[in-house]
Amino acid sequence: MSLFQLIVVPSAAAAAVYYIVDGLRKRSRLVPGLLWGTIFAAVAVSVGFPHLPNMLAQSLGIGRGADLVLYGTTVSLILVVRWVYWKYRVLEQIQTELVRQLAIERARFGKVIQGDETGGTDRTAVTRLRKTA
Amino acid sequence: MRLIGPGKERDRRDEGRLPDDVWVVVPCFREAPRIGDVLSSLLAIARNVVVVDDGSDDGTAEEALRFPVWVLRHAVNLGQGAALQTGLRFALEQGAAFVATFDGDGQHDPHDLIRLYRALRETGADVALGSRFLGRAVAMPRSRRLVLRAGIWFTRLLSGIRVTDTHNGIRMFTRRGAETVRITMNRMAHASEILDQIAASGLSYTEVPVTVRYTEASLAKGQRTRNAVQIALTLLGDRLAR
Repeated sequence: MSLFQLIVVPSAAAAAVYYIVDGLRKRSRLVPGLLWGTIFAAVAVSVGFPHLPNMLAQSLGIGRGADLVLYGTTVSLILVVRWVYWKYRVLEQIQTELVRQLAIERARFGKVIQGDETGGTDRTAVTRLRKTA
Repeated sequence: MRLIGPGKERDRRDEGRLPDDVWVVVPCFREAPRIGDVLSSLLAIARNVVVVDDGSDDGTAEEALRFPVWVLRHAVNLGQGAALQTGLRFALEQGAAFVATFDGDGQHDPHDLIRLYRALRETGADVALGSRFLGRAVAMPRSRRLVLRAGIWFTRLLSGIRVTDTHNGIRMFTRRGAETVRITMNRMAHASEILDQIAASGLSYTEVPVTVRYTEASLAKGQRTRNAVQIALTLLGDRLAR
């Protein structure tokens, strides 16, 4: 076993156990726990037993195990990018909604109204003035 | 789509004022030197004007407050699309029957708003879109013309909507149109998003010849050629990520 395998296999296996146990303990973390646990377990097995990805790749008609890993990584990356973009858009919408609501609540009317020499007044005051006019 | 106003009548100024149920939304970012002139000319024809200051740090909002207009201020800069949506929502909340959008950099002619309003009344359309290519584009650089033409074809390809000007800031919605359109693209891609939503929701629209005047200030602040690529990528990315 190479130095790389000596470092990666135990680390990945430990991470897999940690995430799976954590997911099983807390129901809210079940799906991400199992997902990450599976990923780390796959890393540990692939690095510890390099012939296994080759066998799997050949059974799928891909050829080399390295190509299988590359294809899997590419597809995963696309999914991750899409997920991150979606999260970004959601956060952007939340931020925009907050700023918008604040702007509307603090709307001011610039005209000097009924002796108000200070210039701008708040929206509530203007609405009140309009209703009484 | 119906076209309003023959080309020969482009230069004729429509007289009169907009009715009180028409609200004009003016998105602004760092327009302190120009907003006074814009509002002076706008108030000559419109009673209800909403200035949305998109987080300017040059006193744009304070300058706007010198006029009898509503001033809404974004705490941070979000982009023109976000400012427009803020103004649209506010105008609708105030009971607007028609809502117009009008850039704050002084490149539009306020009298074109009357043409847009008349177009909506005469055709019964939900949205009236200003078109500088049916009207006039004064002092428009050739590079800008090419980019805008490319934008027209890009929008035609992406949204399937056939318009002659895709990124013109002067337009008018009926209440139904304004309620239907919901701008989520905060920055400059909003113009394409509006067209996209018009096509998708089946809103009727009409194009109206308008005049756009390019000045040094508007060219310095306006969309640069490289922004067009960014807008195209944003729209494509958003479409792919849906």
